[in-house]
Amino acid sequence: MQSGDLSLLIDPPNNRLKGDVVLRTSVSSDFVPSRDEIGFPGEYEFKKIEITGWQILSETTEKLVKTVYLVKWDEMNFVFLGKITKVPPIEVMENLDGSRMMVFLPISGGELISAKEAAEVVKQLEPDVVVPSFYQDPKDFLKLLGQEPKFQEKLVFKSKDFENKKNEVVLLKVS
Amino acid sequence: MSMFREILEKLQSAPEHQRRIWLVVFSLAAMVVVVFLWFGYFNALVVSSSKTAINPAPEQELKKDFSFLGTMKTGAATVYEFFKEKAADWFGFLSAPKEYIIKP
Repeated sequence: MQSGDLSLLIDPPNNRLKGDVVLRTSVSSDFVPSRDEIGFPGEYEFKKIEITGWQILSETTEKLVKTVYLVKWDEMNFVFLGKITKVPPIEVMENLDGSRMMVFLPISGGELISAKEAAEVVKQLEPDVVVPSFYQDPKDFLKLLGQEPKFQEKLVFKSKDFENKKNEVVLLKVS
Repeated sequence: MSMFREILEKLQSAPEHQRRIWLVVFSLAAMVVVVFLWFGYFNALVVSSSKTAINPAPEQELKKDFSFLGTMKTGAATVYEFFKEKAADWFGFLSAPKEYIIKP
């Protein structure tokens, strides 16, 4: 994700890509973040980007810490739910609010949250835009939200583009 | 107070070259005080700005870097960043709204 000269990387699979801030939604409990990495719950600030992370206790084990993040970047609110396997607890969900919201979440079941539960999360959060992640087949999820698939190579937008949008699903093509 | 007055009167009646020496001495003393205060302010500024950064380094690590040159460099960088941000804000306000790009 990029805006101006700032970039934010979310769960990069390797160190090949470089970002000003790297967010990790699921890390081993002995993970030691570098200066530009965020891997644990807490409040962080970087060049006017406010990042707040909440731990999902029900999905955190002795070896693995799962965190969901709300990133407030200017007027935008980005929610990264990471590799959740079920609907996050209410105490986490109630923190994830704000206008001009974009939610990133898995949608197609398997080891992660099912399409039905993902749709439930979307209905509860009521974001402007939903960007599915870690998915194979988005059909069930789109059907539950009554939408047609819209694939895009990349998503380019301004905050004013969010007017009159609700729960709009945008699928990003993985190259 | 009277002692201070006596010293001033003595200086006033002293020959020109002696007064010049005292002028240099007092100027140097004033300069040292100003630099000391400025340096202290810089230190406070750098510590407070470091605390807003993500994953702040442990306190010991921060203190270790507080050499004069290190502090000057960090202080200058902080001041530069501050003005750069202000300028960016101003130009951002005048220019088109911010664009975001998201790639998978």
